[in-house]
Amino acid sequence: MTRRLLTALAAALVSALAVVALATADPSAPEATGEAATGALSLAAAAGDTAILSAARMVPGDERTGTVTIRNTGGAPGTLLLTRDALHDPAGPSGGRLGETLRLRVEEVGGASLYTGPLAELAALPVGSLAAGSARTFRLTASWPDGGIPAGPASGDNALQGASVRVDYAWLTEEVVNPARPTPTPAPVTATPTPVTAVPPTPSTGSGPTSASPSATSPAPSSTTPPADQVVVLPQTASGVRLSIGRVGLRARGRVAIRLGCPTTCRVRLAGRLDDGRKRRARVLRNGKVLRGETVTRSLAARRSVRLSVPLTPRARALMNRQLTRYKRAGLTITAYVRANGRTTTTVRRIALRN
Amino acid sequence: MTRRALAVVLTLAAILATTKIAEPAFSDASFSARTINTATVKADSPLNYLRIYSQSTDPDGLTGYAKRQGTSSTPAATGSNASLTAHLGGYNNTSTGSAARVLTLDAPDTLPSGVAGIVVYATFGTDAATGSTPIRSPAFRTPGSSQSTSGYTILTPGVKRQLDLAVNTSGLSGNKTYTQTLTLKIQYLGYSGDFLTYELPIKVYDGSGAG
Repeated sequence: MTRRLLTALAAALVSALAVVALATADPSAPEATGEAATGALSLAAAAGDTAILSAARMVPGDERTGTVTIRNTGGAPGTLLLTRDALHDPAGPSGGRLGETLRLRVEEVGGASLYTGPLAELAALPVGSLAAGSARTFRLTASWPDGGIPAGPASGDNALQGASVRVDYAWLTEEVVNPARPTPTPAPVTATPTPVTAVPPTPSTGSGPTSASPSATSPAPSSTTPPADQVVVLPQTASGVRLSIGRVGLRARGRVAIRLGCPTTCRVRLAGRLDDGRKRRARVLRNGKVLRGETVTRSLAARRSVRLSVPLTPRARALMNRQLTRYKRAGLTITAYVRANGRTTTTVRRIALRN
Repeated sequence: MTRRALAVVLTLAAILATTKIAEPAFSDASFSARTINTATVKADSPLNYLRIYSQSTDPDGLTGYAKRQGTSSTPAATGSNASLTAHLGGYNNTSTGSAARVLTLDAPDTLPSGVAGIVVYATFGTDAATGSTPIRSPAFRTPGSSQSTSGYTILTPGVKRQLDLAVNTSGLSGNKTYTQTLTLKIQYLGYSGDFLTYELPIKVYDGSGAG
């Protein structure tokens, strides 16, 4: 065998191995891009914001509902996941927290009930598939069980007077990049998102107490009027924010590879959440304090994409390692809060890790 | 290229590929959030329907509030709304005591949408320690009027009432302070529950002095 032949063989072998290694990066897969509008408390918020349920002046025994239609405007089918993105449940003037009392029911309109339980405990709920071009409508009902006569002015239901709770629900789509690829696969997870838009949330309906009041007065009926209809179609790529999560290098001191890009100059804050990786009702292991420094803020130039290597906190890394060792699976969600042109959008990516 | 160099290159390439494959594996799925929907729920509060004032907190500066019996000028009530408290002072074994204008009830100028008026019911609980009821007969009067009605009052936006109380310490154990809860329950057409309620502690002393 001549030296020249050996050299050629070596070069070919190196090239082949490099192809094997790099193929896992799946460069052909378009980078996950997407835009998420942040829901707002106010119905007069910027276009694209949606409030699925807005109930004021609730009292024990009340029940309020809101509906939302999720449409798959893409060309590929996907599965749909409803997750709780944020819970703001401050103590009311009398110390009570409404989120700990309210119950939530999630159901598909005309279909089955998907979740019934405490409002604060819904972390992630798979709600089935969504075919290309199809839409599904879901109804969320918040109810307040009547706790009876409180023992004192600041106990029982009385402790909840004036309290409020706000929950941000994120609708996520999952699309399998290459179902035929055997697992485990050392591929970075970048996928073409299944575009989903939220279209008209139908009005919520109040069902407050209706028993008669003292006959000595004749005020108008109680108003538990829900917000008026609003029609919102989210622009799919209005913000053009790109966020993808690459590999989580557990061996590389627990770093997460993240790629970020903005169409205009923006400021991005990252936050992480760790769950047990279950597809149904994933249990949150750690929400916040997953990325070192709790949040990571970066300023990005327009149309520039940057790659970040963000370390996990030691605690998050330990939790992830333990979860992967014991149960062979874990989930990592990265949320990017992107501030650009005076508007904040939120983009979420979740990857499922298998060991 | 020497054979040794070739072997090194091949070894390095093999290590590279092995390392790559040995990294933790992922599923092939990623999730992309397209929208976030917000659910907001707010509990009702009696403050949306009724404000309660004492002399020191009355925004309209009404005067003539009940004095704490046994003092020269100390108002019986202090604070406002859910934190209002009152001590009526000393009523020594009397069956005809009264405390006029202990507090003021004020319906806000704008009631919640769809509520044209409210009904306020006033009731007293018993003293928890003794079970007795030296404070009783709550009655509402229009400011500046000598007429009062007992039991309940009707308030439309911006309307005020003042609360009168009767005291009867006759036959009770002397030199003792009694505490009763004044419950002001708010109802309106379409709502007859117990949630919109103020519960205010009112004290009275059976003895001489301010207690």
